[in-house]
Amino acid sequence: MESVINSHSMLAISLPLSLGIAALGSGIGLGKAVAAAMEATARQPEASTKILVNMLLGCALIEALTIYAFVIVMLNMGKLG
Amino acid sequence: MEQTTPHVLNWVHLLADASRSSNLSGFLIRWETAIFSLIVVALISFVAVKLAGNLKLIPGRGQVIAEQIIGTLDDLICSIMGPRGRAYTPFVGSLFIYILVTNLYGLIPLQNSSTGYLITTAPLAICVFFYVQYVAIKENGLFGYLYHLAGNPKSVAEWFFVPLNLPLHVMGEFIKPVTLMFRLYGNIMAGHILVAVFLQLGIQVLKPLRIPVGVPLHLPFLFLEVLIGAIQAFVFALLSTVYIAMMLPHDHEEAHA
Repeated sequence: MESVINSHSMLAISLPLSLGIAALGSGIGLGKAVAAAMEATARQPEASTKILVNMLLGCALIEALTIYAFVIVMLNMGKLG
Repeated sequence: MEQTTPHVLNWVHLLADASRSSNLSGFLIRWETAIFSLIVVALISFVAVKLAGNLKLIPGRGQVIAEQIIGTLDDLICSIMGPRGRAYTPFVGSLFIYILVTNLYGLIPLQNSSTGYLITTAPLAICVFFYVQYVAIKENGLFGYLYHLAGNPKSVAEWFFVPLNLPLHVMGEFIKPVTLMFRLYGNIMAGHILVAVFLQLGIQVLKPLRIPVGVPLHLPFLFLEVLIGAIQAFVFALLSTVYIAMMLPHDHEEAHA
């Protein structure tokens, strides 16, 4: 009988897990960014559009980290077959 | 064609299923994204030509809306890049309008949005990449462009770190379009799959009753998709603007690198 723990199954476990861990970090970062932006908007509602633009920019850059993990997952997806 | 991921049915797939044995079927499957892309392009072109055809001093309803949209985009880009940002409004604005309309068009029943496929988002990102390099070389000159990529070294210590900075900056230039295209693709594709899964769930729930209706469980996610489609179009345009702004010579302020 073939061993259950081979490179194939390890890959199958680690690929989604890596994306999940990356998303966890991004989620914390996004939460902090949005919370700060909300606070700033509440303090100065007249600057809300400027704050929104800057927040979205930061959110996009934070999201990029998850996208890197997603790219790696997509690249290695073919090995699962 | 067998697809492993769940997908919402669209008319191209229906037509391909109906003409399964003929050549048309393969053609439709192969050019599905192109068909939806062209429909959106035709839609935007039609509206644009129709509005631009009869410009009036006292604008009608359509002209006011179009002017509002263009004005808002222009204000946004100029707020990031300063008054010289106006030169880049046509490019970034076209990107924004195309992506926004494509994203929202995919939510119409029996339609699909082509931004959910890498084959559409990759060319968009590559366009941005080449445009940014073109603008950088045009504005900085070839030497200034290379100097910028080397990290604007001034003192001896900064010249010492050029071998480290140069590969990092060059790599960064290539990573930018990759993140652009995967962000748009990932968000829209994930939205499609989400809607498809909940559609299937809604159908499965009422299956024991044997009636040809389902519970529209996917409706809240459609509203989410409207939001995400608008935000992603905005983010794509915003990041393109920022990438262009980063490559421009900034002599007036040295604070932001």
